[in-house]
Amino acid sequence: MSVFVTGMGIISAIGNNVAENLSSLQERKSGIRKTKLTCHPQEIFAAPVNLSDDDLRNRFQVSNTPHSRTSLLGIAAVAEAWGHNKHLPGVRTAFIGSTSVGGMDKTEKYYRQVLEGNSADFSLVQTHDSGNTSEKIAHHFGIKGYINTLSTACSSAANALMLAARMLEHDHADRIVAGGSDPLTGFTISGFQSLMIYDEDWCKPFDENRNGLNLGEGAAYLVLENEKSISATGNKPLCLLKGWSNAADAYHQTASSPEGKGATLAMKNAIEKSGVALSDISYINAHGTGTKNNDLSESTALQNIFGKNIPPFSSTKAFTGHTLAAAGAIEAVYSVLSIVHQVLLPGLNYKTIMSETRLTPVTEYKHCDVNAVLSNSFGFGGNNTSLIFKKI
Amino acid sequence: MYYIQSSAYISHQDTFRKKGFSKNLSENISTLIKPDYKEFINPSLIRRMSEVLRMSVACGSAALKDAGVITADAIIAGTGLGCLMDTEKFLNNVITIQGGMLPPTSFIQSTHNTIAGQLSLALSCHSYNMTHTQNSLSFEYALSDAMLMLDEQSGNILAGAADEYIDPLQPVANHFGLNRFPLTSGAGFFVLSDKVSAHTQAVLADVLAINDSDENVCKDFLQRNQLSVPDLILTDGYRDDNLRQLRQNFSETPVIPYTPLCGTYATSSAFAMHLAIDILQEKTTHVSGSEIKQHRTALVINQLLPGHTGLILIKNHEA
Amino acid sequence: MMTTWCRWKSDKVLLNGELFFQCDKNNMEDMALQLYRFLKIDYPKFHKMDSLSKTGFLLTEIIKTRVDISRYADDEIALVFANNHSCSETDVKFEHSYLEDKTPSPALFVYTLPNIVTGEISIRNKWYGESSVYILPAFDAGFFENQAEILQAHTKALMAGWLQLIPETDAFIYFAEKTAEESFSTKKNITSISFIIKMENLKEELKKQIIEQLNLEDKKPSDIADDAPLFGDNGIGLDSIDALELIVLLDKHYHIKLSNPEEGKKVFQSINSMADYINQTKK
Repeated sequence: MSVFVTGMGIISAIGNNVAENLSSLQERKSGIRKTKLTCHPQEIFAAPVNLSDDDLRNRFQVSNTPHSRTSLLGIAAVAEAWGHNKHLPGVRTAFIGSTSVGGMDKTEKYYRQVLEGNSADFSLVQTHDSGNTSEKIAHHFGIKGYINTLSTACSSAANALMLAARMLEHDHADRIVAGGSDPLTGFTISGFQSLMIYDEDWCKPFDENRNGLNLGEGAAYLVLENEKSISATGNKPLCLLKGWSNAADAYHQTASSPEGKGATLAMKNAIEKSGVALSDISYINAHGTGTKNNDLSESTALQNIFGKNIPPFSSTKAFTGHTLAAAGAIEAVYSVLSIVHQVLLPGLNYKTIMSETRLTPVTEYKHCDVNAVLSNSFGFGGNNTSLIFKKI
Repeated sequence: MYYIQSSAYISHQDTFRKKGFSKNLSENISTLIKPDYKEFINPSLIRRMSEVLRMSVACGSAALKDAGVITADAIIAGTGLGCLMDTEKFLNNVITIQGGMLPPTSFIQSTHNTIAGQLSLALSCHSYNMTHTQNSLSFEYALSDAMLMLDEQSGNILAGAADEYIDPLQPVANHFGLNRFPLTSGAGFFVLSDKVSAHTQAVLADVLAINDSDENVCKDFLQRNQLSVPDLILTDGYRDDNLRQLRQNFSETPVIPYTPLCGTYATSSAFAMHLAIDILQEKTTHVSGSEIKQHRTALVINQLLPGHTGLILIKNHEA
Repeated sequence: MMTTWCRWKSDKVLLNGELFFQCDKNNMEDMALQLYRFLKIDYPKFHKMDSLSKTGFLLTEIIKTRVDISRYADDEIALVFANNHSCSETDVKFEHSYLEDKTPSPALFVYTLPNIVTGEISIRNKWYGESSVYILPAFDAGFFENQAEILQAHTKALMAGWLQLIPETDAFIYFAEKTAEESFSTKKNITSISFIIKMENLKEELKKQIIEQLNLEDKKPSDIADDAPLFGDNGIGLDSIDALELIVLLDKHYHIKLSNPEEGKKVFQSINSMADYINQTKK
């Protein structure tokens, strides 16, 4: 059974929908800026979504029950992806969300009240668990039954898409809404600062002088369907999700192995699964966080797979910031855009070639024949996932 | 068919590698009963591990050993609230350390997938590594992923669940009325395989996790397994009316409430599965005072959270 | 110049900076007895001494293993000791003997003067030179320097030091001799000894902090050698996460900010390199 992408929705620092995101990519307009966020004491380079919780609630008519920002961002993305879909008898619809910190944006506020000895507002902690994030989103669209959440740090949403594809392939569902969301939180910003991989300037993926990542927030969800569902919904397929794989680096809790073992395995198995020839991969949306370790390890893994013929690649994280669990879905949307619009998407802030691997990323938005796109998402704990999208 | 080759569980009962433990269950929930972790975990890894990681890696390693398996073809974990101890520690530092640098270790160990990630590190396992987190259904979703994977490829899968208690949970549980039984910790891993082996303990017949608590969910589940009544039911037993209804619906079947035995945590249905596996291997057993004859099927019904149902059907290997 | 020095800190004795003796018990009386046996001294009177006298006595004996005392006449060595608590331990014990036990102990009474320690050393060695004991609020290098200045006209060598026993043994004695070029009163001597002690304390403190910060549950400070590599398999076996934790440690305890983890590689080679870095940066 084939897995079709029939819908997608996104909200990120470079736009509140797919069209806005595409035009920002085209105009090379980054969503990262120097900013003072309420959740963090210092001014930092980050990529916030330009809508407050209240804006999101109003825009998407969210009920007045407790919702984490994670859920609200997710609702924004699913609203666009779900579009005119309806619940139909015989079309089994499932929801697979993902998040790395769940409702941490609200938990931070709750726990501050607790530690300051004030009477705490328990409704703030009610949305803490990651499962709640997905249920709130799914219920908003009337999706019941299978509602699940994956949490594998920065590869979460790619894994949600992979699980959705596997379930469709094995006839466990007909239509699945899958993706991920994460908000900016003091917890994650301080976390990456404590690891000394938060760039105090613009992040510079695949540049010799890269010095870490910038965080962003957002959500993206895709609607995946099998043939049976499409014949019932009449949705127009955008492309196929053809290959997927997850592999563990089993090297270190945070760092990637220098030889990129897990990344190489994930790419190799995903390509094999897809049946797509190496030469048919026209563009790679790399994980490319901008940390010394990731970009070197990922470049080495690309060389392991493609040898000297590495397809055009770039990291769009210099636009959106690293959106953690959402990144895999945001970049899946960009991968689909690359196929639908037959374009290569640029990276930003690249100046100097990396001395070890000497690979040059795509720096211009340019038209080109795109057959298949490889999207990489790698997370803490050596969790590596690769997805292959293919033109129909 | 999905075969359960081994089952290793750490809980507030004496469950870890204690075959026949179901005969010696304590009515009172004690403290966490843990093994000497150094027997199962490399000392250089152990120093950074919180309780949930120690429990998980010990159970994962023990389950593989007991199944006679060297490497897992996938590691799949379910956790409702993840690595709470490290999450709280780092969050506390973020809020209280003003202007100073923060120790990164607790941040690194705070992500939900640290459990499965640490297992991959400890076992040098490069295969599929997944973490499901859907509150009270996290374990059931992890199990169904494992079964899907066994449909895709032959192999041995390490699947399990873990959750840990920390003190700041108590006021939250009190506020939301989730304090009927003590809040506790528990972790366990199971080796699942598509092939029977000399180690096979039981058969995992079917699993369902669903955002629904309608009565028909259970009926439909039994029906799709061509079963009218299971020989034994283990259920959370959190709400008396649920328990009463269940005993009414299955008047011929012994119903064992498991929350009073293991305490409350999101993935306690994994404790119930471990208990079911042990009971199915015994000729007869006494649980909560009543004698239970040998049985072939056990159903775990998890409705710990209203509106959510998890169902796990276990069959006796010889059945 | 200072030719030999000896330091007794809790369960360890260092002679000229190197480990001379380590006790398996961290208890002054047990350790004194073990040290006495280790030195193979036969001097029964030792067992009657109070802890202050034992400390001065033993440290002097250790110094004598390295210095040829015979070249000095019996009145050419001066003794100058100081501490911040006099012989209060013995005073308290004596008070207890007449208040609680109702029988004032003469054996204790004879040690209720702080200068008895110089008496014991003089008797043992048959020395008839200058001797004095001072009570100071805290160790003061300048004070010893002044004493040396005053004494150098009358004497050829100086056995001096700090004999602190409370809350734990923290004592040192040094032996200074006149040479052709230098008198024994050069400031350098005392400064260098206080530097050595400062560094030694710093290293001890660092080891405790590292064990705490990195949760090295099964390690004691004494398991970490000053020069053992902290990273890699041949030493303590720390990794890159630990390096970040050590950066936090420097910030938390010493207010030193390392902004580049690469810098850390040099700094965190060993306890010695960490202590040197802290010392230089704090100057």
